[in-house]
Parts: sequence; C-alpha cells; structure tokens
Amino acid sequence: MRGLLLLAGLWGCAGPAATLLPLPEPAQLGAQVAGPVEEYERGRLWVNLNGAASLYEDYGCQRLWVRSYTAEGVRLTARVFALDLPLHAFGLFGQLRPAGGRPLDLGDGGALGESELLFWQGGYFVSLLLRDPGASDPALLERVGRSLSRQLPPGTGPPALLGLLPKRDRIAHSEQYLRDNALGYASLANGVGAEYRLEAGPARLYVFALESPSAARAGLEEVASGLEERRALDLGEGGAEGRDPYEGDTALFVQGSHLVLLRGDVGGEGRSLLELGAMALSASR
Amino acid sequence: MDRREFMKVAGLGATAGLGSWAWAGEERPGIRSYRALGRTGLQVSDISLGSYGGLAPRVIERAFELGVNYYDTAPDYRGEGLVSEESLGKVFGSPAKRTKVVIATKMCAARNYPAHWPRGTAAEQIVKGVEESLKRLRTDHIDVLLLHGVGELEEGDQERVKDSAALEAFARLKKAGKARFLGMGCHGPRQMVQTVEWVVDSGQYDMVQVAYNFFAGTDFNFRDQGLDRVIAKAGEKGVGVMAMKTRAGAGEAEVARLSTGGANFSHACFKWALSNPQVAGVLVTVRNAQELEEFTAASGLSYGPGDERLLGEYAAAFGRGACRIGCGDCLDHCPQGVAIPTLLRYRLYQRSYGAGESARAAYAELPLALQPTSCATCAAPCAAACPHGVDIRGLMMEARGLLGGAGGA
Repeated sequence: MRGLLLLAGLWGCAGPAATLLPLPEPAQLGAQVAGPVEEYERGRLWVNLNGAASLYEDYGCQRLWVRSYTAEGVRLTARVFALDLPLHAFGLFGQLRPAGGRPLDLGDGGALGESELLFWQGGYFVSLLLRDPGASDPALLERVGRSLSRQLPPGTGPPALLGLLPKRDRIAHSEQYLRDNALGYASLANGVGAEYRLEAGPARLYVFALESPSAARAGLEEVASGLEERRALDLGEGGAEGRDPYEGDTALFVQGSHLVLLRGDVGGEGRSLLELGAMALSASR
Repeated sequence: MDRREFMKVAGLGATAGLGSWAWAGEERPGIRSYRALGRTGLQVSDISLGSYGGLAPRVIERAFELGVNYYDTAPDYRGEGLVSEESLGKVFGSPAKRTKVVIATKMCAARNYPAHWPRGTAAEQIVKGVEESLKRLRTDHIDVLLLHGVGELEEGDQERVKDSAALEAFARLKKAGKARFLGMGCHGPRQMVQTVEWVVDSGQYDMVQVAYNFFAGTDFNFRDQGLDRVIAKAGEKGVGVMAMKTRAGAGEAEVARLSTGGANFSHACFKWALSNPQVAGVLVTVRNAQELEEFTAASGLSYGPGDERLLGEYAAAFGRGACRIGCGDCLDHCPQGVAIPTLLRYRLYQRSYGAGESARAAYAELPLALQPTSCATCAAPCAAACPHGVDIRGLMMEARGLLGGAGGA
C-alpha cells in the first residue's frame, strides 16, 4: 500500500490523494446490486464522459471512479471525481448544480434534484444520477449521498475567494467558481460569481483574481471591446459599461489584479453593488 | 461558390451532390471547405462546432462569422454557467441566422451529462424532451436529431439503436416538421464498429457521429478495427459521417513533448480525419474565440508529410503504451490474472510522468500473482483480445524490466 500512497502523491497537490478509492459495496449504501468499480485517469476521462470530460479536466480532475448500483429497483450511477484542489471541487459543483435543486447540508455543500444529487467535499466532487427516465427518489439519493460522504476525507469549508463577493442581496447557494475561459473570454480566469436580487431585476456579479494588474487590464479590454454604447466607468482604477449584444447591460472595472464585472441593472442598486465589490477588494488587501 | 453563396444554398435546405469543394489559392480566415453530409442534402463546414460546456454566445457568433455552419449540442451539455442549447438559441434564435445553420441535438434529458434516455424510454417522453430542446434553441425544428452516446451505458446499451420507441419518437417529430434527419452518436467503448455498421445497414439513419482518429486506422500500424471499412460503407449507402474525438484524447502535456517542427497537432488530427473523403466534418470543442480561430484555420487544408510525421511521433510515444479505453477486455484473457491495466498505468508513470521511484514502489506492492512473471513464455491471448491492438505482452515485459528492477519479480 505504501507504493500506492506514494503514487497518490505524484499528483503533488494540496487536493485529495489519488488513492485507489473503492466505491462502497452495495450493502454500505443500502443497495442490493452493484456493478464493478470503473476507474479513469486524467486524460482518459472521455471514455466515460465523452465531450463532458474537458470540463472536468479543466477543473483539475485527476481521477474518476464510477459505479452503478440498484437499490429498491432503482438504478443509480455514482461518480466520484478527485480534483487537484478543493476550490476546483467547489467549482464543478457550482457549474453543475441542478437548476431548481434543493440545497443540501452535505459535505461542503450539496444540491438535490428530482433525479440527481451533487455535492463536494474537500477535493472531491460527487455526482449521483438516477438512470431511468422519469425516475425520482430524492430519499434514496440523499441516503446514498450521505453514505458516500462518510467514505471521503472531511470537508474543507467554503473557498476564501468567496469573501470577495458582497453578501448584501446575494442569493444563497448561487455562488460559482470559474476557473478558466470564464464566460467565453480567454483572459478571464480564477473568479467567483453569484446572483443578486436587485429591485430592478436579477443581476450577476463576478470578481476575478487575475495574475497581475496587466492581466486584469487585458480582461477589461477583452470584455469592453464587445460592448455596444461603451462608456467609461469611474470605479476602482477605471472601467467601462455598455450593452453586451447577448447578455445585456454590463459594467466592469479593475482594481489592482482584480476585475469586477456586473451583468444586469448597472445603475442605482447595481452601482451600489459594484461599489461594495470595490470595498471588499480594498478590505482584502 | 463562395461562403455567402453556400449559406444561401444551405438555407434553402441545400442541394445534394455538390460534393466536397474548397476555395482555391486564397488565404482568408475561417471555413474554406464544405462537404456533403451523406444523402441529407446538407453541406456542412469541414470544421464544425461541438458545444459541450461553457460555450458563450459571443464565441458561437464568431464561429458563424467564420463560416462554421454545423453546431452539435445536447440537453446535457453545460458548464461555466452556460447551457449549450440556450447559448445556441441566443445566437440563432432569429430566422435570418437560423436558416443558415445546421443544428444537431440529442435525445436526452436536460440534466448533467450523461443523461441519455436508456432503452425502454417511452416515445412520449423522448418527444417531450425534444420539444424542450426546441424551446431552449428558440427554433421550430432540429436539423439532425441523434441518439446520444450509444454504447456508453451498461452492457447491451448499443441495442438502443434498435429501440422502436426512439425510432417512433423520431418519426412523430419528423411528421410534425420538428426534426429533419436521424443520427446516432457513438464513441464506444462497447462495440462501436459493429453498432455503426448496424446503423448504416439499417437504412433508418441519415448520419452517424463517431469517434474517429489516427488511432482508428492502420496508418500508424495499429490493428485495423474495421472503422474505415464501415465508414466507406456509410459513404456507399449515403449515410453522412461526422467525426469526433479526433485528437484521440491527447493531453496537452503529451503534445508538449513532441517536436512539432512548426506543425500544429490539432490541425494534423483534424486533417487526418478529413483525409477520409467520407467524413463530412470534424466536431471540435473550443473554450474561447482564440481556440476557435486556431482550429478553423485548419479548414480546407490537406493532410501532408509534416502532419504524418507529427502524428507518427505521437503514436510511437503514446499510442501503444496507452490503455486507451479502460475497457478491461484483456483481463478475462490473461491465464495468469496479471493486473494489466494497473501495470500499464505504472509504466506510464515511469515513462511519461518522471515518477519512476514511486512507480517502482507501487509495483513492488503488487501481489506476486498480479505481476507479469510468465509473459515471456505466454501465447499472449491478452494482445489478441485488445480491441486497440496494444502490444500487451511486450509492454508487460517492459514494465517488469523498468519497474521490477534487477532483483524484481
């Protein structure tokens, strides 16, 4: 076993050890039948995930274990992803959580839909999917999810980067982490975003912690170059506002190596939200 | 015919028989070649867009400007806060643009991948799912409706192509004008070639979307899997072919080790697939507009010696050492019960990741019964069973030499 643990260390990150984690035997999950544990390394994820593999690889997935179970006649597929960092496990969770799903106090955060349950715990991201069309068994999903959670190392808590997002008017459980090529922009990476409930309507605020002030400036220019009716924005160390042809009203500014971007109402409350973002950045220095 | 004229033709529902063509002698960004998609009458860009994950509308818009006219999506393609079908709907929701593009989507549920409808799903459910796709795509019809990831689920999943409910659902949708052509997407790991052949022979499908890359053919001395033969048959029967997985799962770190000599690895992969005249287009996944520009620059280019050398270098370095699909087909054929996939992995750690010490330690921990102690004198039924022609015995002996050490087992 010493060798396997050493191999786990090959991935050399603060994330989970890539031990040869077995998915539990069916009895441990209250299931009656289980298929074999399938294991996929980084670079071969596509065999199991087809085109979806690229998303998991972008989020630093090192290894994937897959196992199918049948419990009480319901077929379920469990996937456990070992990421290189807990932040990336949170990132996947934020990307993939089901729309309208119920937040679940599981691991470091979970969400329960009619036919799927997702949660993240430390450097692991877990997905449970009911296989059959129309199948819905939230109780079973939750029971299996809690059993799986107990098999994993303890959680690490919310990512520190979330502290850059203002709390006022923020919609709980809407937070996301965007690792790379955020919103389709090559220059936007390592950011957090959340939805906000403003009087004028919903808005979405993002804060990106980029490599350098020049990287932040490059991000500003890339986003602003696509804005119609572009105007200067006097916040932080300079910014722009205007209308994105597809995403609507947009405002953004840079402060040091950070870039703050708002989509939604950019006047009134939106402006206040941007100012709160600037204050959070100042406080974090 | 220039691209603008082409788009008019495509918008009119296209005329069959235009065949493959390319602009001659003119350098311009974007798509330079459109090809016939089998008997559908559609002409599609040789570089076409897959849209899994965070594909932003602005990137799709740029693809449109560059002349990409085939967009592949699915209800379960999502990421980076974006839902693929919705992004396409934002860009192609207006009739002016919609008539100029071919949209392909899948029969599946709108939740995280993989959400394919399994066998036994009622036709009503499939129809309802497609109607939800129409709403997200902001269109009244799907050009190509595919069965999703056939062969990917449990053993026997490939039988989905015969599922009468799925075929009935498509027939209903076609009659209602909501879907035009039927397709099937398949990337294995279960019986891909046989499944594609059945589909081609069935006469019920208009196109197939298959994993097709330089590992699939015999160009680099891999064992012939029969895919070229089946693709040729598809051509004879008028079944269109779109290629996916054309980069063969190559990792950036692996590609970075190659001496490219100025050649572009991605381009070489695309050009290899497109060198088969039956392949109408390759589906590429991009993360941003820059990658899009890079990939579409391969349009209309011929596969040449520089590409051959680059792919050959990759194949030699990684092709035979990689247990590519993790299928375990070899396991049942080893009379000694050797831990073949595990040993291939340890060998990869040693050779490619510079982690020899750890790999040797892991090897030492393997029970003797799982080590390749008898391979030298074995008839190697494992290699015969490997669907990818991996020289398993040779690699097992190499692994033993590399990892077992002088005094090793």
